Amino acid sequence: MDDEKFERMKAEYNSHVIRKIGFIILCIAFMVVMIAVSVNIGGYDLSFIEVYNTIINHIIGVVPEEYSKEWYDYQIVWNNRLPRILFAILSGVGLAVSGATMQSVMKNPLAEPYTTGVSAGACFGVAISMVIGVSILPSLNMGLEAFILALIPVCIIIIMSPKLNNSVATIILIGTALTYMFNAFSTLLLVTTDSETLAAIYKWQVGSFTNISWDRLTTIAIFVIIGTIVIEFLSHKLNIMTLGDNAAQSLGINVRRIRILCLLVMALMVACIVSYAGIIGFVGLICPHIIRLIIGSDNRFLIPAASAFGAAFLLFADSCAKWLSSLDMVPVGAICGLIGAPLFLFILMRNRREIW
Amino acid sequence: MKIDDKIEAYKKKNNEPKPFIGVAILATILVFILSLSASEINIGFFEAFRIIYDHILGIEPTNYHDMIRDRIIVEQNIPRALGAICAGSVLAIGGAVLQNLIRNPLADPYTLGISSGALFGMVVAIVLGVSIIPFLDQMDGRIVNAFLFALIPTAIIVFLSTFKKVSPTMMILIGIAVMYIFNAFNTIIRYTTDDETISQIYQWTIGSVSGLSWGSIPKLTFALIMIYVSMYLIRNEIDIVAQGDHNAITLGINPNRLRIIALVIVSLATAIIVCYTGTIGFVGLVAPHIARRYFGSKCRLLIPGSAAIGALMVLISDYLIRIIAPNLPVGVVLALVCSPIFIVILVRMKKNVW
Repeated sequence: MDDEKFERMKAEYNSHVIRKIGFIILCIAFMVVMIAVSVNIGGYDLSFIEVYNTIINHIIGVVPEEYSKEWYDYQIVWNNRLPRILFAILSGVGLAVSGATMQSVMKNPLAEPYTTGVSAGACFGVAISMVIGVSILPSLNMGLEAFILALIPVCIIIIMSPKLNNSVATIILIGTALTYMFNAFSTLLLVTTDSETLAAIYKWQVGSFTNISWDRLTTIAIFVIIGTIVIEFLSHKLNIMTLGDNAAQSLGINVRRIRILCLLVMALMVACIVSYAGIIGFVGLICPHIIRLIIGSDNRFLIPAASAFGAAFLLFADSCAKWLSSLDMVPVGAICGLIGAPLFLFILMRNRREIW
Repeated sequence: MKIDDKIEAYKKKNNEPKPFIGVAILATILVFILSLSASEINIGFFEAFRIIYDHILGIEPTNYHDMIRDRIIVEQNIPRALGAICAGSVLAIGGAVLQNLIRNPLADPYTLGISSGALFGMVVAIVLGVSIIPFLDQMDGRIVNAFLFALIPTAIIVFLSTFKKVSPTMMILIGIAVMYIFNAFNTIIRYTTDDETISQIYQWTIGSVSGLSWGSIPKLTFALIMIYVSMYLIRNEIDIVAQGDHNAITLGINPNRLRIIALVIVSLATAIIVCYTGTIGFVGLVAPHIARRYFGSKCRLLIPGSAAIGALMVLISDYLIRIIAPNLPVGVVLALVCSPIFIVILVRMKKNVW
């Protein structure tokens, strides 16, 4: 190959990479703007300047007098709005990253973070604690129970995986079967209860970002950030694995081990999010597809882009939910579907790239 | 000469009888017969036959005791079992065909958004009291609503794919996107109504065959015959498209048109089923996979095989409900009984069909 052609190809590749990085930066910028806007949205009426005054005062260490107006402002902004925003961002990152990874690892466009049964397990945990009132470990909250039970289906899959003939389709199908099974367990509990408990569980299932405190947020942040970093480090190998198991193996990749590592990391991230936020659909399945349509399926760029876009999108949806009704009447999952699905269809119809 | 031998061997292998389909059909008939006598009050196995025999001959039951039993068997048990068979086989055939055409093991009839569309129609009818076609009584209005809304996602898929070449996966993803829109509306409406209505809707979501009467059987049977006959007619084309769009085009088949035709038929049949039984999950996904493990992925055997296994699964679950726990929805028992079996089958079979 002559040098000139080689140089041209190199330049072309670099411009592709720059375009993709540009898109990621755009998503991050959108997220930052959304944070700035979202701080101002809420049930309690605060002006733009008051909000930022409160935040700056807290950062430079000015402690407001108790029960003064500033103190209330501080409580609302610092202990209510900011945790909610950060929670939405972390959930968006976690769900979108796990969705993208799951689709790549399972080689299936219909895979999503909940395919391995995380949501069904968590739902069963919530149903147990709300209907029977038993908790596995006493003196712990509902979230932990959901978290532990959310991990059970994945553990079953991982324990069984040596026997599974090394086929991803089988893993997904077992995940789906476990999802149905755990949902059936929950339904067994739910058919016997009164409609009030049913409604309470339904409201948990729909998902929301309210009722989050700073210390829970730290736990979630640790899981999500470490998980995202691990998966981003694995992204080269995920790219190679899309060539097929045999090709990846001959290139020196332990396919089975990486698959299990990914499953475990995703399960921990998603279980952590689900146990506090409930089952928020859409982001995990459709957001990665939107990104794939825009920048392609290269995992090195897909994962950071999906995390930034997922976070920005979920924050946007949550801000809309807050803006529409301060009483949490419109669940964030519904807003995601209403905004995201038309967006997805629009991008799909505009796009010429064949991604799957 | 050698190629002729190979063709002979292939034909021989292909035409050898598959006893498992016979076993599945026999088992279905057996459970059907067993389930005739199963109900909350104690009816003997042979007594049930005497009652049916009397009913066919037109002998009126003489006393109250016999009349109750006659009612239960003829008006309740038989349509219920027939409905279970129809629902199970329609969903299983739909799942098998979609999995082959979309080339994705996770596809089932509901991935087209049929269930959420139907649920939306039902929710609109229950909560807002609006039915699309006026002058129907409450129950019919709900069913018609559910049916019409169930077809909207498919209509959108067909509509969009006339404008643009849409890959099979994209078709499914369009269906899922539309499903999310419907789900969002469902959630909002359900969020704003009282707990009583929510639990009424919830009952419908789980899916059950217990409420079926003779009036719905002709429609369910129609759905079954429609999907079975049409899919069996295009079975060879489906097999070819399952090998890849390029191969299909080379062999003179328009894969997208075939896919659209199959999608429309599957969604019509599934929509009919969903209107009457609610969303019975699991069968549409799992029955084809079990069938695949025994008969392979060729439609000639896969379609009847999935139909038999699907019917058997729903029928057994319904039978278990009747003899063990009368109040449980069929979907729950289905998942509880069949998912462990499914997992065992997946682990034990060495054949790799996907």
